[in-house]
Amino acid sequence: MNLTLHQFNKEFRYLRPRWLVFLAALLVDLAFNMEWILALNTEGVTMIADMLFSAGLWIIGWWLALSTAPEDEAEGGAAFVRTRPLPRHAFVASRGLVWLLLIMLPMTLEVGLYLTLQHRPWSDVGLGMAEELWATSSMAFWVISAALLFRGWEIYLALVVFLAVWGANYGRTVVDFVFEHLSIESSWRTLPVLEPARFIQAAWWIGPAMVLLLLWHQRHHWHVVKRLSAFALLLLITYGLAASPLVKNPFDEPLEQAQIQQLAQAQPVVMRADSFRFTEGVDDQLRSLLNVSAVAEMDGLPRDVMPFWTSNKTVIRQNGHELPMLPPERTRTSGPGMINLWLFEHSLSGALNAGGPEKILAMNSAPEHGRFPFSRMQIPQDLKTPVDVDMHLTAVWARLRELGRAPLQAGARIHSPEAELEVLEVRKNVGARGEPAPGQVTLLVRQSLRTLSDRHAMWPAQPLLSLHAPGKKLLWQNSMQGGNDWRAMRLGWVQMIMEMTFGEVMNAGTGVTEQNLGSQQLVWIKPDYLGTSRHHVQVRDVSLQGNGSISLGGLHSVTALHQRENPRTRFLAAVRQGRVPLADAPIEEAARYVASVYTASAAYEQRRQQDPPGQLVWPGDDREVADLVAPFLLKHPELVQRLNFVTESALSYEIMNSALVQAGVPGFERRPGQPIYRRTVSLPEWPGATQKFESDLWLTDVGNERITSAVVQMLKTRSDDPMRALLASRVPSLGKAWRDFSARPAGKALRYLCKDPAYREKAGAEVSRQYGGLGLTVRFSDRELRIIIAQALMGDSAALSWALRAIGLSREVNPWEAHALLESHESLFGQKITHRQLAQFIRDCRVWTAESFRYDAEKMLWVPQANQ
Amino acid sequence: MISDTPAMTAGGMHGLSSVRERTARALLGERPLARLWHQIRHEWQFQRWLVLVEWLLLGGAALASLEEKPGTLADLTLTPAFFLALLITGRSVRADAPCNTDVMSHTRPVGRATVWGAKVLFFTFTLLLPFVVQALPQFRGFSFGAVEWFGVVMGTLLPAAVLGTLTAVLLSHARSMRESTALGFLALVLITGLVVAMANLSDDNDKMLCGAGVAAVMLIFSALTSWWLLSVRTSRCLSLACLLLGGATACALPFAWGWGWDWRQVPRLAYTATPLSLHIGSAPASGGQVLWPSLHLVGLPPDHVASVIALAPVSLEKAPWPPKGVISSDYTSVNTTTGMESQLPRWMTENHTEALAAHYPPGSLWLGYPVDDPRGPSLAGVLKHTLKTEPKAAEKPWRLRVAISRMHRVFSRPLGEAIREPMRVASPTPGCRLDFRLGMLDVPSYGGQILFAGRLEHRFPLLVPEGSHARIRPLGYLPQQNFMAVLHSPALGEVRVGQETEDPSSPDEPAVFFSGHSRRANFTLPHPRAQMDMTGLTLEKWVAESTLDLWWPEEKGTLDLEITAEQMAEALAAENKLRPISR
Repeated sequence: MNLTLHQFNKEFRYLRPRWLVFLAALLVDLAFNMEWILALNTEGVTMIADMLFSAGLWIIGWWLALSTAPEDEAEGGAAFVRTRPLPRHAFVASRGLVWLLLIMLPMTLEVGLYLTLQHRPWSDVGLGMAEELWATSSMAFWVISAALLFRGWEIYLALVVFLAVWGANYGRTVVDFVFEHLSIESSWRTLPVLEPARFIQAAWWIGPAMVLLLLWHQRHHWHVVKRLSAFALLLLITYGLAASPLVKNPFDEPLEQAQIQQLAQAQPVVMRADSFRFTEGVDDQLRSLLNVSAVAEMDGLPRDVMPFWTSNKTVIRQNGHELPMLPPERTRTSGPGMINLWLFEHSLSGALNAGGPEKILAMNSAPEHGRFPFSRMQIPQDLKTPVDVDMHLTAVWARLRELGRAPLQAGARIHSPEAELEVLEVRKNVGARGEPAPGQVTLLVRQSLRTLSDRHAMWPAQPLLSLHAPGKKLLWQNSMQGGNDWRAMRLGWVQMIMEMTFGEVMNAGTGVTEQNLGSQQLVWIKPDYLGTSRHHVQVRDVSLQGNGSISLGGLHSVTALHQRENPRTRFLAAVRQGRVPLADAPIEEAARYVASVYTASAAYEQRRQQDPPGQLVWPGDDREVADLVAPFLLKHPELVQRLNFVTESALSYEIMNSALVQAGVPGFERRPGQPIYRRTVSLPEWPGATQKFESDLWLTDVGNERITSAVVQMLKTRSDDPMRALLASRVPSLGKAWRDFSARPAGKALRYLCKDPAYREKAGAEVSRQYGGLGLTVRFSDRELRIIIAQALMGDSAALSWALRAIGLSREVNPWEAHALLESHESLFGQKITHRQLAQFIRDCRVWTAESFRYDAEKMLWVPQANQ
Repeated sequence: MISDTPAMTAGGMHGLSSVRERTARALLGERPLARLWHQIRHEWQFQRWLVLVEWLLLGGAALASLEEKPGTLADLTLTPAFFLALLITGRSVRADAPCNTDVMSHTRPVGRATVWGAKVLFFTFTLLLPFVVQALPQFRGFSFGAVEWFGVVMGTLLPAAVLGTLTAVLLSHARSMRESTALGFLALVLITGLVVAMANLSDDNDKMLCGAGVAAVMLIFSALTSWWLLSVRTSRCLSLACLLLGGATACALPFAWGWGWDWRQVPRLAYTATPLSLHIGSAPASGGQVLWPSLHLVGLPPDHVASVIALAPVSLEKAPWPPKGVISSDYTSVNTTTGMESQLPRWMTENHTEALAAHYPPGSLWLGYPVDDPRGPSLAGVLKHTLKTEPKAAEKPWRLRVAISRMHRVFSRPLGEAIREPMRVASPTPGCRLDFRLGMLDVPSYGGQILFAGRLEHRFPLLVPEGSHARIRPLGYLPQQNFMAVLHSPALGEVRVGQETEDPSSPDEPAVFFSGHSRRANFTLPHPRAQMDMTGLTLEKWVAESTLDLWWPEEKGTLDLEITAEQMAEALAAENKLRPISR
């Protein structure tokens, strides 16, 4: 008989009992993965069971592979082996056969049996078995060498080392520590079981080093401690290699890289200066910083193809000098593995919209579609001078593909070649933790996802389950995940069970009720990674303060005492109790007093609380306070320019008005309500003719600097000429209106521009362009809602329908949205409504459609149909 | 039985080197201490490098324990130190294992008892004591007294001694390297199980903890005795019997300690310092704390504050009081739709700030941060909520339970000093410590703030009683530690109350005989934005002119006050007459 086979026979006789233990473990593993024991459940400690069973199987497999007959171990394996008439290569080959026939083959057969029992296609069975063979064979160098390196009881020490470094996550701790200190970004963010290909590749790369270690030991005979240390080091190196950017995950391969490259070359990326936003933040070292985000646009993209942008390098210059940038957040990485995370904030309904005027709209994607965070920078000293931005961008492209649909009922199933889903339970008005939650729907679903290499359903992006209401064409895409559990991650088709909670489903305006819940749909959408492209963009004159960026000033301290009392009376009392200077005090002392008044005003800001919106909880005004402060402004008019218009504009205007009244400036009087300037002057150039001026001081389109300058002049001269000059300057030029409009579209400005034919065309094109880039959602920022309104004002009934749907789904009492909704009504219909009428407006929008109105092209308004 | 005293005489030693002669003379003399010292030196010679590595690792672990987040460094030092200690123990025991015929422990002239004693001393001074010492620095600054430090030492020493003696006794029974390995694994499994079990003992179960402490001592004693029986008396059976009996008793003891001495139990604290009473109606002329606009608590001494634990009707049936889901408590919030009750991380209210006002100039403007609901539910709201579950609540007598605390100023330094260096503040009661340092001088948001990065640590040894009285448990659980940061700027006439991060405590870190949890305790203080914008006041000048105080509430006890149904109706009527508070 062939000597190798003979030696294998001898090994097998010794290893038989251990092999039976291994086979038993395999059977238990199969039973576990088939759920014959310990069914999937969402209670208790989940997912750990799968990892423990897998780890246990690998440990037993290693134990079996490392075990050698006692006669081969004498004197460290030297004595008997040297004198036996068995060539070394035959001995090594027999060890290889032990690994192949006693461990690899049964594990491979287990995969085949599992896939067969799961009724998978024969091609999947074959592929699964081949992949298992590939994975197990990666350990061949390791186990064959280790069996000769460690003899007798030493194998248990080797197993302990293997368990500590690999199974107990100690290796990951060390690798993370080293990576952090060497500033290496880990390419691997999950568990080994979710990205096995990395570890298999790394095992192949480092396996030969084990052979070298064995050869070295055979020449120089290392003590067991040295051998174990070297073994541990090789394991750590394997771990580190798997986590490093040097190893690629084959499941990250793009599907259409060439087409994406062509698309990237054909369409330029546009980043508008006004889309940049700089928001304050704090990093984990508690350093203040600015987060830089912007919207990157590419025209003509299909709705179901989405780019996700990151910046490889951002350079920001101000006055020619480069501003210091900070490294990106550690939790934010790029790459296709982030697709699921990005999709959380972007509407998925592009995958479902087949055409037609009425789009399916996402209920719970984030507002500001297309905005991405790009980089972080230190806060510069100069926040007023614009900057130039130079970015090297990477776009990860994904296509949204519908896997299938099913009714929203228990027992519903969705089946596709790569993924299967079954709804086990539908819980109405129940939250993620089982608590009562009106309007929410919690599903218990079972998923089977293919994890074979040719079509991996979990990597880089998992399928996303959404709820679809065909009646109102709404999509709920983001769910809160509760308990979950999985099995058989290693075996080619993973089984999962999870709880998913969708919020705001049965809310007013959605058309979904408990009664018709079963007729809604489940839609399963799979993002496919298409490819990656790189772009270079330069943008000039970007404001650091525009578009909701950081704002200077602002107070946020309220009173720490007397919180239960009337804040209006307490404010007045605090001002009176303060250190009031003498009437002829110098300007600095007066400034200190005025500052203390502002501090007290911020402390008692509750006095401005409105509930419901439009109705003061604490009726009254700040006139008495203003009258106390005004004399100091009369004495030192320059103090006006130090007043706070950012967060205390109402008080500032009250003080200015009081000062002007006390100064006797014509046109300013003490009257109830908002301070108003009212003056009728005769026009010398037209005898008998008069010009009437009426305005409040709060001229939002003029700017505080010009207003305060005018007030200072008026206080000094006791004349109202500066006020009239200010009012006269309010009519904006078309050019300025156009500049403001493109940054901040609004209905009123649109109508103003459309009076001029040239600007009408430009404005229309700009509105259409911005409208085309909006995400298909009902949750908008104020700016996005204005864009939709502006498009509707151009006569687009689809835009009107979209606006009505979005408004109808607003929360009825929400003071933060109130202003935008009031403005929407005025823009669309040309009529103002009050806060009290807002709730009814929202309810009406749930019933109204575009057909309820007709378009008045002359006035650029929508008018109710005659029968409404 | 072989005598412990060496039988050979100097005349029996022929042809030895000078070193050996000196050794023989030392051995042959009847000087047990000299023999002991010799053996200890021998142990040191055998394992000195490993011991030095062990000390290095323990030093690293001690340094890691002082870091804010020990994390990776602790993992990289303490775990290897643990395994290395077991290895040192194992090697030492194996070198003279009584059952192992490959070693000559029975015939060595130094004597078996001396060898055993030397090993015990060697392990004590090279492994056990350094391990105890490395654990001590992390407990500085917790206001521990002698009793608490004793608890720290015992809490560290007992588990380590259990592990060491068990390892030693098990390995001493091994007759070969194979048995050593197998018994070593067995020791590891047993020890791991024991450690996990001890670490997961609930620190609420005092009797079990006391039992566990006694069990640990018993286990050490029985393991040492077993080892001694085997090493000195060479009686394997007796040794095993002693070990098994001791081990079984020790394992059962924590669960059977119900009848035993519970030295951890401390009495509950009832407030009796001053007579307190309720005043119904508008604020009394003599002053008092406002609980509700029409209900005041009168009689509190200065700096004392009452926090409402519950205001609820008393049921005539023997139902537990207070009932679940009270919305009147300062310590919890209840979702009135779902009924779910959750603990409020911040239970200190404006009343606590008011108590401090006397320590600062009158007329100062007090500034703080917005809170969600400073007023809380009105009495009418409390009654309305109670009627949902107790329809006859208006006809029943009510009870008001309050927790009294006294505000202590535990820290007062110029702000400039607090900014320049890290600070540590101990709470008035042992076991709690606040470490903070400047996080950022100028957080730009909301007009500018100073951010202090803080960490509130709680650590206590579970083998000794925690304080002289039981901590107040409103509604059955311990409230989160709160403190108040106050910044006084006399030049501006302003006093600022800091806003603290509402970060829940981390879960108890499992540790044998210790309870420990921590949470972030960052706090911010707003800049005087208005003054800086209008008067040119600089941040540096403001910092130089301000003082930072930290105030900590010290528990003084609880008190129940009974309210009749008529009094309750009177309070409700009075609340109606007073200006209704809108929300």
